[in-house]
Amino acid sequence: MTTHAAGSESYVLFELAGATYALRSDDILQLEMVGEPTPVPNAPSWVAGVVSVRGQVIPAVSLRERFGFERGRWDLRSRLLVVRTGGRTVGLIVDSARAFARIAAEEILPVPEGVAGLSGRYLRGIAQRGERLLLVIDVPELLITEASAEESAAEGESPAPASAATPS
Amino acid sequence: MSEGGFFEQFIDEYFAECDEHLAAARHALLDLESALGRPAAPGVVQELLRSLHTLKGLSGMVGVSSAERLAHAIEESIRARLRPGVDTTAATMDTLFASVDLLERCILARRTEGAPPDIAPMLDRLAAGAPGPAAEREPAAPTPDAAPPLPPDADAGDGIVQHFEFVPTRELTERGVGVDAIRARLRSIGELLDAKPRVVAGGISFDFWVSVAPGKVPDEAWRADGLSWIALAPAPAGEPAPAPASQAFVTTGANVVRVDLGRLDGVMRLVADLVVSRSRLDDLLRQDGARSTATRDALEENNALMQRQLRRLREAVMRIRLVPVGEVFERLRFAVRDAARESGKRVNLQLRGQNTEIDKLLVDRMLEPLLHLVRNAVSHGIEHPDARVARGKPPEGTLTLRATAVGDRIRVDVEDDGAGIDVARVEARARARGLLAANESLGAEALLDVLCASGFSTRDEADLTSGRGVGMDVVRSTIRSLAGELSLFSTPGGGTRFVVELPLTLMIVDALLVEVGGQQMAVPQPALREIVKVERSQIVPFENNDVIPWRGGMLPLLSLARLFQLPDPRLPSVHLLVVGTEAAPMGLVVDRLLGLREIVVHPVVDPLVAVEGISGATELGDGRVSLILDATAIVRLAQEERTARAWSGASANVAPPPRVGPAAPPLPS
Repeated sequence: MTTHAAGSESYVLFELAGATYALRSDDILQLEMVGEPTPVPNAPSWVAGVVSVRGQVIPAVSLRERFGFERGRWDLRSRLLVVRTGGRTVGLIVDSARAFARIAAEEILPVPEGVAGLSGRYLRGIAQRGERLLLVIDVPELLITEASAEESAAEGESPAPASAATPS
Repeated sequence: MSEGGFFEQFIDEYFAECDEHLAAARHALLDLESALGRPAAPGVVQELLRSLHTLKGLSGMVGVSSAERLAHAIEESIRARLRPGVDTTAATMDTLFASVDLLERCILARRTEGAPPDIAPMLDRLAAGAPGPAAEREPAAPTPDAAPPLPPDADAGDGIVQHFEFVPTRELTERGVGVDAIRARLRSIGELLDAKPRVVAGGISFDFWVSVAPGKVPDEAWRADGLSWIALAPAPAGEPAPAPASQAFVTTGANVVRVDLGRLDGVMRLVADLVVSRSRLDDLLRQDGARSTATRDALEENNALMQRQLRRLREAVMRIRLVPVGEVFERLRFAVRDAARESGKRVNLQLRGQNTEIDKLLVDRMLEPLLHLVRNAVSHGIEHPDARVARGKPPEGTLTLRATAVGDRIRVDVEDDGAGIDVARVEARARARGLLAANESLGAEALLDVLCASGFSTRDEADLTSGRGVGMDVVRSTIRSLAGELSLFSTPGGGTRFVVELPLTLMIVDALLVEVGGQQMAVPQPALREIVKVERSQIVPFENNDVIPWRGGMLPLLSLARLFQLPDPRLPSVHLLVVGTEAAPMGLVVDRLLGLREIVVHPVVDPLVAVEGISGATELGDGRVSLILDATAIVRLAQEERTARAWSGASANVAPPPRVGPAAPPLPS
């Protein structure tokens, strides 16, 4: 364990489709087991549904689908990261989340062009931990982008996200 | 839903109210008895009459005729025997006490569905003591209320509401001072809120309620003209409710009104309707860009004002429902004593924050989970006295129940100074049940998750007090269904603290639970016009939608499975929920009816899931969330969609109506 400079922040590390992501601990309200989200009609396809967390009904986002992967199955290792930002509370479903790490601001390097794919839009940068790359997510950015993505999807009908949710 | 159910509910209220009025009548009789040998105090007699009058009316309404007749006879007898200036006799009091006892037995007979007692001898006895002419003194018409009734809106307006009484006489009429003249005079000092004639002994009088304008006072000379009032000190500015004025009307001792929760819910629903109407105003204001700036500003300002007022109104109504949490704590006291005795432990129960207030509905519902936590604390948490002494603790364990208000939530701590939770043992059991991988250990959050896993128990043998491991999962799901949350803090050897957090108040509606494509959904009962069961073969595909012959016309149908893109099991028979307006009804097709239930409404506000057609969500206790359908919005969406489709022909790629969003209406393929 190395001691980091005062500029470092605590992050929660989570796994998603084989990659490791990092989310600022301050943005996370809590970690929960993933229950059974109730699908909401006419919501974007990557919204798995609504779940109840601490007496509040909040959307549960399938982060896999948000980043363009298959939904996958939820198991005992899956976690719901409850994030709070800008007055909104949203759950993010990830494959697993167990470790914490401190990352200093200067460790976070800009995302190389064309590397991160779909999730690149929500990445603040990449940090390296030995062999592992940590994809650092910007939570406020993630949710703001979601809202505007929703709007841009509303303008054109081609993505038709909801019909993809349940193929008939 | 049935008539019977409604009546049964009503009759429970009848019994509750009767108890209250019987108690009040007895109280008044005791008062009168203490003044034996003197004329009865008119105030007490009026109170007694009012109780009996109410008992008569209530009994008449629910058809308990023996009670109705008896209450009437007692009333008559009191009017005859306890007249002003007539001394009260012991015989009269004996008769009245006996008659009220009999009245109670009449009501009890209805309650226990037994035979009503014979009231004939008592009717004779009551009539016997009554001097004949009494009946003529009193108006034969429905007995008037002895005290002036409360005006409908005594607190309206900004001024002080003052009560005036006018007793017309022939002499006054000859002088030209009639009701109209009085009315004009009162209008000169403020706004006339209400006026009612009242029958009094020997004639008629008029009650007026006037919202007296600031700075105005009634002319003392009016007192000579048959007008009377109680002089009031002006209320300090900014204090809306003039307490002295209301005391002038209310003659009963306590300043407490018993209100049925259902009525409050009704008020709350009206408030909710208002909130919706106002937000519609918001929409309109936003759309309308053409108006002049001045008008627009004025409208905006008004709209903002209304929003603030509505919020205050909502809060005020919610406050009415709050009761102290202490009543639940008191009930837990017995549970603790019993559990301690059964387990041979010594427990000192500490109660804190009993005056913290919480919604009446929650108070009743939080009892069960708290009961369980308290029993657990005694049977699992606190050690036997010997064990405690061996650990250097006092032999008597301490269990603390503490309520605190935290913002708009209430927090109840159940804390014991016992052994704490044996994490290693919980981990072992969790591994044995496959809840935990071999190399994993339990964090604080996961510990509670495991304890609350269905059927989990750390006890090898179930004991009498804490059951068979069906505990914590039920506790947590109950708390969650009340929009609350449970958390756990445990120190090995030092104790355990469970924290229950609940909202201060809840929105609860009656809803019909239905199943659509394997999912449960809730439809608020007020939206339902009718429920019809039909065979699928009766459904006729017609142009863009299915219809069914109904009441001589056609009822358009909307498949909720299709709307929600759920698999349709194509059951041979389905249920139609008829919703919409009388002029434009629509049948929502559902697979099954699961029954009526009271549900807690959770708002669904995040833009990701705030879709039209869903008015909220509820948790039914199994941890899963069910959506609450907004029938009005669904009907509107369906009609908009139909219109849109009609315009664009049969194309399957119709652009959805603009307000619906990208995922909008399912299109038949």
